[in-house]
Amino acid sequence: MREPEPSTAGAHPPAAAGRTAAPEKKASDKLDLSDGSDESDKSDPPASPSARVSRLHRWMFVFRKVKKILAILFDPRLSGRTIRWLRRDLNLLLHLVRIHHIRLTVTAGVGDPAETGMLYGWYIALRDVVLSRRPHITIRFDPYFGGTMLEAEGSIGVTCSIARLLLAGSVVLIGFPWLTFLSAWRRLGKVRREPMPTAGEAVT
Amino acid sequence: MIATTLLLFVAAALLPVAIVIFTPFGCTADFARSPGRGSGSVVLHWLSPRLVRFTVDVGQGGGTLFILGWSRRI
Repeated sequence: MREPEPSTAGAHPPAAAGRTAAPEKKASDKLDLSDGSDESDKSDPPASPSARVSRLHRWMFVFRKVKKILAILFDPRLSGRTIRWLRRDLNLLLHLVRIHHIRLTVTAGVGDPAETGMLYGWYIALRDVVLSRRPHITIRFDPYFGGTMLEAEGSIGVTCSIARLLLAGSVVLIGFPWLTFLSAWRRLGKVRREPMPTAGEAVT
Repeated sequence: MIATTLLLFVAAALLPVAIVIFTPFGCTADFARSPGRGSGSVVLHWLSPRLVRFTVDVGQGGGTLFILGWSRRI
């Protein structure tokens, strides 16, 4: 049995002690870990008001930055170009990955021959409308009238290439209306960090 | 003469890069399902028709991973 050390391990520094108390807290944590005593069960002290204010201040700064970027993007002078750029990028993304082939063969029956026949009728009706202009897509449905069954077999292949990725990336980067964006950024002014309120002001 | 030689060297150096960049990569997924059994495989291809191949057979249990000729039962 070891006697409890008369150190500062048990006494956590007060919450509002400030920056000078931080090294002591670290030292106490280290002692707690090495001892493995009951002191380690104690939970961490709650965040001090100044830390909370600091965190809130940081979030407010990020929020104002995001608000500014959104305001610039939806600026009347820029929004048309931004929307055109977004539409072009979306179009590029849709053509980035090519479907090489889709093949699906299904043999199915739902138990009732009449319902199976109706399903087959739906398939025949949709097949020529949807698939006639896409030769790389093959969907085949064979009805099974003898009972309930589901057998399926299929294959899908997609392709892309590094050249296509590079091209899309460069189009996205070059196509962005940088000059208009920068002029709007300068016009709206710089988002500055406001001076942090002191801990006493934050509590009051 | 020197310019032509340099041009040839540059072209020879750029050819592998162009092959790598313009070779399409992609994947092919196959599946088959029948009562009591199912199987599937995914093949990634780039420069080689079967760069990585993963197959699984549910009815039999387990799967096999093939990477460029190396295979391992998992």
